[in-house]
Amino acid sequence: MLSLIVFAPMAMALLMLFVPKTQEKLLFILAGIGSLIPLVATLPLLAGWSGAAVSTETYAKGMRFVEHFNWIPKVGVSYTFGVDGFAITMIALSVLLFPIAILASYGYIKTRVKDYLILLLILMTGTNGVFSALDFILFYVFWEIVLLPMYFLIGIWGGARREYAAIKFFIYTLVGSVVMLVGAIYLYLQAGGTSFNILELATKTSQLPVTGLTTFAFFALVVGFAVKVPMFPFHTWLPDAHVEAPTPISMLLAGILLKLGSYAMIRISHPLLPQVAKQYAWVLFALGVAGILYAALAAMAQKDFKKQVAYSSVNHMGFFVIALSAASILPRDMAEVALQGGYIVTIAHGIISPIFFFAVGMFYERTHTRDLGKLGGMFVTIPVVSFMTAFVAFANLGLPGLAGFIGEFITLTGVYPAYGLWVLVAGAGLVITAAWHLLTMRNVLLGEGKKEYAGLPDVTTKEKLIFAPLAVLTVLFGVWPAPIMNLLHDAVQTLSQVIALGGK
Amino acid sequence: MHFAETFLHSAWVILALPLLTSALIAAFARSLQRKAWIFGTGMMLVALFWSIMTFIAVAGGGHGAAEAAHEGAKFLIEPAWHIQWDAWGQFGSYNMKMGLQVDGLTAVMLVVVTLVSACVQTYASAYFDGGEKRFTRFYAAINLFTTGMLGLVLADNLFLLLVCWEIMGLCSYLLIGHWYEQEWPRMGQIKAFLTTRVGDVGMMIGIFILFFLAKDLTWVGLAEKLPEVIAEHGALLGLGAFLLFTGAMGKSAQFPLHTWLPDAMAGPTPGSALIHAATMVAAGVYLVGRAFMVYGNAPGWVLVVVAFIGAFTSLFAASIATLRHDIKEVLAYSTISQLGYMIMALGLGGWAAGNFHMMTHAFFKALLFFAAGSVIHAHHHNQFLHKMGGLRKKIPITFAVWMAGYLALAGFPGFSGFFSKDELLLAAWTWHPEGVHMAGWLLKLPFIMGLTTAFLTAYYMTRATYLAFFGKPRDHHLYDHAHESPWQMWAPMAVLAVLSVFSGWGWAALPNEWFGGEWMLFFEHLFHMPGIEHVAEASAAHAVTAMATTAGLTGIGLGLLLYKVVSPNTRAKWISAGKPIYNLVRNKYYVDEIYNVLFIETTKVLSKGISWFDGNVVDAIVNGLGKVGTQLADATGWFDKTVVDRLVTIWADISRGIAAQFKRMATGLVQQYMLTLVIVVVASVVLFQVIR
Repeated sequence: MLSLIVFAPMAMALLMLFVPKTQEKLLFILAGIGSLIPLVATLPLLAGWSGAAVSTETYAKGMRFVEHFNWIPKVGVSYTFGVDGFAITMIALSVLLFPIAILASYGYIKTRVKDYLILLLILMTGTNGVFSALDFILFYVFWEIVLLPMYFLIGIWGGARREYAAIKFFIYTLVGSVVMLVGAIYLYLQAGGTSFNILELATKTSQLPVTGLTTFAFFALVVGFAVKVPMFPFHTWLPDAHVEAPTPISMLLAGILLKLGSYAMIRISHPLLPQVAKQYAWVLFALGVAGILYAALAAMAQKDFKKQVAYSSVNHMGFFVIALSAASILPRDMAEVALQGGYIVTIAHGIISPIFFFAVGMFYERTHTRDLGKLGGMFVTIPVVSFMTAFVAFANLGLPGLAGFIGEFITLTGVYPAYGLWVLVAGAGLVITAAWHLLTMRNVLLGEGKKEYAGLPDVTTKEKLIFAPLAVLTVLFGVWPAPIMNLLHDAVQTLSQVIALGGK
Repeated sequence: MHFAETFLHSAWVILALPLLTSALIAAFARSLQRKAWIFGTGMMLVALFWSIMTFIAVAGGGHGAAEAAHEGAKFLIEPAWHIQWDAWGQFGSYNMKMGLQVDGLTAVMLVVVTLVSACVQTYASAYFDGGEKRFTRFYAAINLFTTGMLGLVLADNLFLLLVCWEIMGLCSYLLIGHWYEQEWPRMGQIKAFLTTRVGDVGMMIGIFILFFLAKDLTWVGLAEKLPEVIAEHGALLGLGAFLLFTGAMGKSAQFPLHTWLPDAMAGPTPGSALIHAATMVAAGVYLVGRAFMVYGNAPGWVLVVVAFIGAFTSLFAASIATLRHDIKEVLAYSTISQLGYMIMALGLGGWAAGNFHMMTHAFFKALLFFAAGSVIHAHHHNQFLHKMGGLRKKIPITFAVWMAGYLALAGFPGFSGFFSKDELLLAAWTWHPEGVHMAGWLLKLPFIMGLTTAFLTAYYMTRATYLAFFGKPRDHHLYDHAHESPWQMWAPMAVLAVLSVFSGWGWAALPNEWFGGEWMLFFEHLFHMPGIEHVAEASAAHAVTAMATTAGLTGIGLGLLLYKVVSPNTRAKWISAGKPIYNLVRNKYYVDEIYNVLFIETTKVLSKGISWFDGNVVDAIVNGLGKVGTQLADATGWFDKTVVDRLVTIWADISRGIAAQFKRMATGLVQQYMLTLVIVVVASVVLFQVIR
């Protein structure tokens, strides 16, 4: 099933190569189907989650829906797929966001439609593959698959400075992934050079002493992932990439691509080297909490609506970083709270930020500006679009009752025992985040309707269709987070156990 | 009783009704239009009926089963009804339970909230004029707000309370910004949201600490577990309790987080009456009262701090209210002051007194806002007291109800506020903080501050009343056009006026002494908090009553003296004599200006700086690295072209030369070829040997 989820989009992309590029509608339909197959295939996995067999093999301990074949046995590379709570939630997010992004592209992307859709489908294979792979080499292959389509998607369909943004994105992430590869190969050799399986590696590397080289390896991995997260101070590619990327790509970038970094930390750097993670937890905490405050303040000063939202991604992912950092030094019971909270932050951000970018896109499509100084009085002009924007802004600033709050609240509940009143700094970030959201809403939505924007069309059915599923989830998980929590439960327990063991 | 029990056991309906109403009004906004008020009020009356029945069931007792469960737990009122949902979710491995509960305090609050909300919805239907564009939005928000407030008082744990708390914050934001085309509402709504948010962050950290200590956030769980951790983690519990209180400071507008409430008056007056007078702002008081298992168990200094913040706020805000010109602003500062009173009472251990005053205040302050709204409505949206005057003849009903509210707030004997204020001051008089040693004068300081506030309150209300309703009209044009409000406005005011007069009689300690009617101590029994024994000698009670009454009457007398007897010219002379103090108070002690510099401007500068740093330093480093890369590439390119290429060309030239020589060798002679071959082979062998 996982292979289908991963490769169905790729297969569809191959099929689409044979469709003439003038058949745009057909291409969209095919791409839609290609992205919906994984969605449909994921549903039974979610439904049958609690009943599914949990693997006890060393290569997939604690994983479900495992697929395992030898690939290059000589160096210990195998084709191993398997998911736990951390992975399945991300896959669910990914298979939900891609069809939505394709729908959002319909009628919006007008040039080179065929190339665009094929790249999008390849991207989907890449992300789903990263979340399914349990073998490092396999993981790395998918990791790199993600990189290229993204480069072209920004570089070809982006805005005015698209080439600068695309190159910046590419170099940042490429450097990150090369550094990561070096770290991983070092650990592979240290572990005896018999297997690239992540779980098998972890059982060995987590027993290594903390030396200069293991520390180097840890930070090599973390920096590689931190670029994707993005973690302060490796974040500056993100605002540029977002500003230049077309709306659907921004949705995917914020919604799912950033989660590759957070997921990889959960899956690789921290289970592999929990002992180093524990010793240097303060580094991650310092960077995370600085990122929360820094990004909130930086967002406040932006003049470009989309850039603001981009900085808020850095802000939110900072909560994940501090949660992970806290989990690596806490006793098991509180570590579970922190981990769960941090991960829920990433899930909630994956649901909320895409529609926030979409909201920005709705304004841009109508007014052709993202300049906060030029927008204004939109509640009078386009009330429904404005209402949607206000909803998502409140969700993003962490209003209780909506999904964003649950994660932040549990995160800080878990982080408090580890770092005490330092959480006040994150708290200050919450206030500043609220401040700029309110100021932006005042600038864009409130006030007298502007003459130049009179008569703009209000929301379309397509826009409602894109917005509704994610908005519904935002409310649902805000009032009833149990579904996510149940999915995560086992994985959180296992990981906190792994981390706690490495701490000895 | 059996009949009423049915309602108690389905108390969740009270919460569901306004939520449904809000959703339906939002969904059918277009077809409902102005009819939304009938629907909203109707549904709220059902909820009110349900609440009253619940109240009767709780007050009548007969729920012994639940009572036995937590016998002996200190600082916990046994819920009369409690449901819990186990499958809400988990915090790590801790099961979080969501639930609703009803006890005496909740039951009273249910009635108060639904009653005021029903009144507001009736009143607002006539308050908004025909041109109001966002009529249904107001009703949807009011009903959502009511849901939040009802959820807050029904919540059986801190987490749900926080969620409802913020939902109310959102509705408050929406209602303040109701007329968002204008600048003041837009600023006011942001100020309100952010100021309370500052408190909320502290509150959240307080909740984290409590969770860390007790691994439980339900009231029952906290009451059971906190006494066990106090020995080991006393200081931390104290910190948690204080931080929890910062949330209350934000919501209930206590100094130094009080500045948002006056600006919240930018919203429509009916909304102000419900949210910024009667209910939401009392949520902070409710929190301290509800979470008393935290405060009761925490080290004594926490409640002392709570008490002094409350006492200071009440005095501070009352002094500002004496010089406000806008009728709503007077009431806003009065609200802050009265909330300070309640907070002070809770801090002093007067748990029942604080909550009692919260109830009476809800009635008379909502009434005063209604009446003020009616005055403003009658006066063509003029809010300035100095343009009013003599209105009692023009709008007699409004005048009558205002007088009821005024006398209740001023603490005139017999009115509801008189009894609750009396209880407050009695709690202050008999204060004995546990575990904290203080000088004798400090022990009496809250009482002195409270008494001064009582005096100031009577004074500023007399001043406002006189300026609005008595004397000669100051603006004849406005006066001539003044008109009485329609029944939708005066009917709710009449209901609240009755309650403002009589709602104190359920706790009339003095008449109880005189007449011996047990029912007169009704609220004292209903508000009984296990762990707090309130003993006051009769002589002390009489002394306090005498002092409080004197203070109130003196205040009224001073108001009349200054505004009825003394001429405006003399008043102006007196003001110029005390100019510095007048300016200080008139400018609200410059708190807004200080905050503006200290926080707003600083944040703005900081944010600009960070943004500059991000663009010009962090990014410059990245771009610099990129530039180094490209220059390195350029250098390599140059090297490649000039050096490597040159070498290659040189080699090419050399080999061409050699080739030319070889060409000469290509003579076609086999021998020569052979010779060359041998030489090459030998040379190769020699070379190979040498290298090896």
